[in-house]
This record gives sequence, structure tokens and C-alpha cells, in this order.
Amino acid sequence: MKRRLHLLLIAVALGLSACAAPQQPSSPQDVAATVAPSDDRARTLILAMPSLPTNLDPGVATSGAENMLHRALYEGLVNFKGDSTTEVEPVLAESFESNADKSVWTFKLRRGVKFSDGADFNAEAAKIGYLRMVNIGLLGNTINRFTSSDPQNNLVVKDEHTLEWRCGFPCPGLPQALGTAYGTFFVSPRAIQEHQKTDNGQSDYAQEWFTNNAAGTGPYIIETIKPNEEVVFVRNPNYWRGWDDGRQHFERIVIRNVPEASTRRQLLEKGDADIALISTVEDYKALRATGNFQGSDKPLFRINYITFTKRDVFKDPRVRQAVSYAFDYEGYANSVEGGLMRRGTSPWPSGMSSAVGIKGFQYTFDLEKAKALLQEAGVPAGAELTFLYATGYGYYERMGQVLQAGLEQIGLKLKLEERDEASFNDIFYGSRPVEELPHMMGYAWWPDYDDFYNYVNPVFHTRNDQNDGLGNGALYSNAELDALIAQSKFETDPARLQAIYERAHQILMFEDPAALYAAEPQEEILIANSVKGHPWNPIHVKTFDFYNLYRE
Amino acid sequence: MIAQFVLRRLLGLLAVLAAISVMTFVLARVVPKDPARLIAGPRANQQAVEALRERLGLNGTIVEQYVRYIGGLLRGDLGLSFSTKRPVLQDIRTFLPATAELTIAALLISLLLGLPIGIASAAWKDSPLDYAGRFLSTLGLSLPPFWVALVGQLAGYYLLSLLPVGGRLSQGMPPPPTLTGFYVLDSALAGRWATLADALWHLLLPAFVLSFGVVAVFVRITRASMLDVLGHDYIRVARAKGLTYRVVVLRHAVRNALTPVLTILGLQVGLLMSGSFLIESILQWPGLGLYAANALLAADYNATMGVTLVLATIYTAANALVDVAYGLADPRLRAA
Repeated sequence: MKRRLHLLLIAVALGLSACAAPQQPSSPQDVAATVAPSDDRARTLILAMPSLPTNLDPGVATSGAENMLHRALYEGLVNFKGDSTTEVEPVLAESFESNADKSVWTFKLRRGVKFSDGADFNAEAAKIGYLRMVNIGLLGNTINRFTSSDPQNNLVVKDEHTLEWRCGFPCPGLPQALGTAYGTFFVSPRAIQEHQKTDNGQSDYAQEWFTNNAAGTGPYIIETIKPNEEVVFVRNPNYWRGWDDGRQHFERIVIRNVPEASTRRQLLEKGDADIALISTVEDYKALRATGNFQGSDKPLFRINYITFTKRDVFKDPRVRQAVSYAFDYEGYANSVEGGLMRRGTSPWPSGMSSAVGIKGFQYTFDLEKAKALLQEAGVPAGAELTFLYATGYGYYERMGQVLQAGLEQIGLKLKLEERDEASFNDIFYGSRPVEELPHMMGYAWWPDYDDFYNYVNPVFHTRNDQNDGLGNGALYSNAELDALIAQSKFETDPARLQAIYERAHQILMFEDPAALYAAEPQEEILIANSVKGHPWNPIHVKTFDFYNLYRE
Repeated sequence: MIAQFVLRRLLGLLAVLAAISVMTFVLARVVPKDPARLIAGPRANQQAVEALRERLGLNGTIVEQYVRYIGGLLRGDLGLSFSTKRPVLQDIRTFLPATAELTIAALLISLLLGLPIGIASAAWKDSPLDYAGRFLSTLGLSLPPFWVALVGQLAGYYLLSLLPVGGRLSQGMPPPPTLTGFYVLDSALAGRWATLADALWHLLLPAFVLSFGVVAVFVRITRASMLDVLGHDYIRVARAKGLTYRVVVLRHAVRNALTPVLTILGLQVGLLMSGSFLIESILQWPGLGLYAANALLAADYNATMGVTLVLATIYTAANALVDVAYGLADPRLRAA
């Protein structure tokens, strides 16, 4: 009987093995990891995040969650210093300087830096990395902008450790532009060479390989990837900065996929996670109140807003102004969002240097003014407007509900329509004419770095085939604004720039409103008090400089 | 005769699968979505999105896309997942064992709890034991699984620190050598007892939550069937012959009462597999359900269709097997 049972067990096992995938280690480091797992909790940083996209390619992936992975594995020439959004410090560049009119920048690259696959980091590798970014086309806008769209000729390898960058125009903001974590990280040229595939003579730049593998100069390397479960990083033993600077850098970083919000809170409270995204106001406040967790009290460089589509009654700016007056900004930010957002005061984030100091027009929650404007515009009572938003982000729905309540009081109906993200994107980024778009859509945007052009051009410039207005889903168009945006791209005089900002503010906010700028959210991340070194930089949303994190 | 019957059922199975492939393909594409834009991200320019669309095979008419898809399918190629960038078949082979392990564990729990409780409820009808069994089955059918999952985790992990959260093994615990992909079975076969214990510990809550409703179904069906059987004449005869009630119930009644339970067993497997979609998302069980849920949200056509086809194949194959078994047991059905 026992023998029969044993045979049955083996037969079942063999049968099942036919449908099971052999779980190969994701990288050579896997082998070591499975042999010697770390049991030292203190030296392991655990993050609980709501999703775990595992595209490790810094030339392709754009979400904050993916960017978080990239910052462990890859580096660029410079990085923002601490919580500053304007001051950068060298990383793979040892130093940098410009010519007199700041149109040419010379980057002296750090010597002795190697990619995790052993390839040398040098000027040639930097150029190859940038060209890869541009040729893939998903994240090359910054490099294109500062090379007059000719990176091949304007990125010049002067010697092994010197890269000359020719903008073709005065570009004092180049170092800041390179401080962004989007589209500026270098991958190993050897890995590109070894893993690229060509189709009709066209290289894929090893995109397939870099999706699940990494070869960067960053402080950590991949230990294991368990799809939909966790990604584990361990220290890069050859990291150029070394690990002996006296701080207790983490030996291992575990990023866990925890879709359920209540579970993330539980993990954080029980000490089984050190960092978690806390997406509900109640949980966030309750955890902060314990005094055991650190969070940020300043808003991110991000605005959650409601776009206006200039069709039907919205062709008249007075109607858009009326709608803007019918939104209870303070009530929404302080009550509905529990004070974890700040009311919107500007078409671009109020913390950006181009917004600081602008005393532009502000809306108040004023239903009488709204009614008067509607009457002036001749909008019939009971007119219906539509508001479309993507599912999965509670704040869009709440924004819609607050606006719905306000509009009801001035005699307008607001129909809330929810779509899954892919369907929403199809409408927002699609090619429908203005007449077929909803009156309003929920959207949010953040800049790659602290720059007026970088924020405003994608979302408010007229969408065209020159890649302007990529995020302008409502197809907003204002010729004067377009001209101001174009002027800002090359303008370096502070006074003239200030004039551009003020005029753009007036147009976008009042004269021809492009959107209702509802609120600026705070970071939803909470970190255990024992973890130190996170600067809460508002540019780096939901991402971390893992090397500088340590436990105290 | 039997061979013809089996062949007919197999052809029926293929027809069902072909119909499912058409339905899922059309449904996935009539909904206005643009996976290329979703993957490319908001910072990608239009040319890059177009190139991506071309690379993903999303251009061309729906008929061309379907022909391309079926051509791949016949070669065992389910396409590339847009979200994981891996072949869908590879993803399914990675995630299916976790779901299958969870489903089998839940089914075992359902049988081990549902049958004895149902039998006992019927054998001691209207006793406190019966009331308890009926209460349990009502509870199982009325409580939503997501609520049970959340409360189970709150109690088991947060309040009592008895159970882990998510995953199939603890952090740092290496998985057993892959033979079946079932961690419990693989670790037992490899003699890695610590891994086995850890795998069972992680399986406990998801399996119990998933089985909660199914236990109730088994209790109800078994109880009703037992009560029916216990009312038959041959049971009275057996009692009149002097057999004890225990012997009559266990030897004569149970065997006959279990036929309807076996009938619904196949259906319950389907329900458990689809139920795992929700449970896996809430309890972070890295199986096919969580994979499919992510694929649906990401408009990942190939992954969605791949999972649907695999689940449909399992479900229809299970039912075809039941049909064949009935046919073998009852010759009258072979002509049907």
C-alpha cells in the first residue's frame, strides 16, 4: 500500500512537472542568494508597494514604481542635492563646467567606474547610453531638447573621460535637466552589444534583455525577481563609492508587491516593512499620529487638475471661469483630502522656481460669481457637463464629486464617468476630435525637473507632430501661450522669464483657463523612524536614493 | 462505441475552445483601449507609440490580428505579454502552479470539512451539531470572500501574529527545486521539511479563505443527499437486520449519498479557480489570478486571452472527463 502511494505521488509529481516552469535564477547572483539568505532584518530594507512592475529598463519604463527600481540599479551624471530641486551634485560626472554663454558644457567623468557586468563607464559609454534613450524614443525628449535634436553630433567624446555637450543655444539649465531620473541613466554598452536583436537592420537596443536584467553602475544589483511577488536587490560589491563610509547602508533591499492598502498599513505597523505607500487619508494620519513614522509635509511638484475641453459651452472662457469658481478648493484639500493636499494656486506646481513669487490671479469658492458668469455667458439652467476620470485613483473621483456638488448649486449637472486606465488613456492620448472629448477629465502631471518649459509644454502647448502637447489630452490651444512656451525654451534673462511666467499664469488661470487646478498632493509614502537619509525631494516622487538610506 | 463517444466529446471540447478564443479576442479588442500608449507612458512621443504598436502586432485589421494570433496559438505561442514583456506561455507556466496548488489545497479543505460536517448534520438531524453545521454553511454562503480574506488576515497576522502576509515562502527562504511547481509537493519530495512547513504556513490562510464558500456548498449537498438516502427502504431494512446506526450511515448511506457531491466537484474546481482571482489579489498570492487581474487592468490582451484559454481548457476538460466517466458508467448516455 505504501509503495503504491509512493508511486502515485511520484506519478502525480511527474505529471504536474510538465506544466511547471523551471524557475531559473534571474541572475548569477541568485545562486549566491539562495545559498546564503540574509536573516538580518536590521540590514534589510523592506518596502511595501501597491504594484510591482518589473520593467528594469531605464530607457523604456516611465512609471514612478519602475523609476524606483531604476534608482537602485542605475545612475546618471548628476543628481539633485538633498531636497533641493535646483542644485545638483556630481554623480558619474566628477565635475562640469560651461563656456561663457552656457551653450557648451564639459563633463569630466569619474574614473574607475564599472558597470555591474564589468564594462567600463567612460565618455563613449555615456554617449551610447544617451543615444539609446533617444533612438528608443520613449524617454529621449530631454536629451533631444538640449542637443538641438542632434545628439549624434552634439554629444562629443573629447577623450575617454570627457564628454562635451553642445546644446546649440545657451542652456544654463542643462545640469538640472540631467538631474532627473527619467531618461538620464546609463546602461552598459557591453550588455547592449551582447543582447541586442536586429530586425531589418534595426537594433532593439537589447530592450528585451534589459526588461528583466540590469547592467548599471548603481549601488545595488538584482538578487531575485519573483514576478508579482517581490524584487530583491543586494549591494553591488564593486560600487565605486564603496560601502565603508561609516554609515550602515542596507545590505539587501526587498520591494514587495502588496496591492491591498490595509495590508501595507499592517506591515508597516508590525515592523515587517520599513517603507510603504499609504494611500488612504485615514491610514496615513493614524500612522503619522503614532510618532513612529516620518512623512513629508510639503507638496510634491505635482498638480491634480481637471482639464477643460473647449467645446460647446466651454468655448466661452466665462463658463470655464464659472466652473473654476464653483469648486471648493479649501474644503477639498483640507476636509475631503484630510489636509494631505494643498489647494491649487497655480497652473504649474507652486513650489517650482517659476511659480514662487508670482502674484497671479487666484480663484476662490464663490458661487455667486459663478452664477453671474454663467448668466453672462447665456448658459441655460440644467445644462449637463461630463467629467471623465481613470479608475484606481480615489482623488479624481473625489475631485469630481466636490465639483459636482458645487455645479449643482449653480444649476449645472455634472455627469461623472469612470474608465479603467487603459480606456481612459485611449481617450486622453488618442486622436479624437475636440467635439468628441468629454468636457472635463481628471489628470495629474509632474515635471522631470524644476523647469517651466518642461512642465508646461507637454500639457498646455497645442498638440502637434513636433511632440509638443503630449499630455494635452483636452487639446487645449492658445496661440499666445504657445509663443510664450517657445520663447521660454531659449530665454535666459531672468526678468524676461519672469514676465513669461506671469503672462502664462494669467492666460492659463483666468483669461483662457485650460484647467481647474484643484490641489497639490503630498507624498503618500511613510518611512519608519529608524530609517534615515531620505531627503523628501519633491521631484523624486515615490522613489529613493537607496545608497543614502541607512538604519539608525 | 466508447472510442466514438470519447472522440465526440473531444471534438466538442475543441469547438468550445475555438469559440472561446474568438469571443475573448473580439471582446478584448472592441473595448476602446490603447495598450501601446499605456506601455509607452505619457512622456513617449507619437512615433515611438506607433513603433511600439507595430512591434506588439496591434496594427492591422482585427481579422489580420486574429489570424496572426491563431497561427501563433497553433504553434504553442500565446504571444508576448505587454506588461511583463515575457512570453505569455512562460508567464502562465510560472504562475499556474501557485494557483493550482492553492485550488487543490482549498478543494481538499472543502472536502475534508464539508463532507464530515454534512454527513454528521444529516445523521444527527435537528441536533445541536446539525444546527451548527447549517449555521456554518449559511455563513459560508453569505459572507463575501474578500471580507473573509481581510478579516482572516487582520486576525491571523495583525492581531495574533500567527500567520504570514502574502507570498508562498518567507523572505530569505529559498524555494525547493522545481519539479511540479507546487512548493508543498516539491519540498516534500526533496525532503526539505523546513521549506515544506513554511509553504504550508503560507498556504493556510489563502486556502481556507478560498474554501470557505465551497465548504458550505459541500455541507449542504451532502446533508440533503444523506437525508434523502437515509429515508430509503434499504436503510430501514439494514437497521431492522440489527446493524448499528453508525454502520448503516457509514457503510450503506454515505457511499450512495456522495454521488451528487462528485457531480458538483468539477463545477467547484472552476469556481475555486475563478475565485482565486480575488483572493490572490487581496492576500498577495503570486498566482495566475493576480497575474490576470494585473493583465486586465493593463489592457494586456495576450495575457488576458492566454489565461482565459488555459482556464477554459481546464474547466471544459474537467467537464469532458466527467461526461466520459458518466458515459462509461451508464451506456445509455453514450448515445446522447
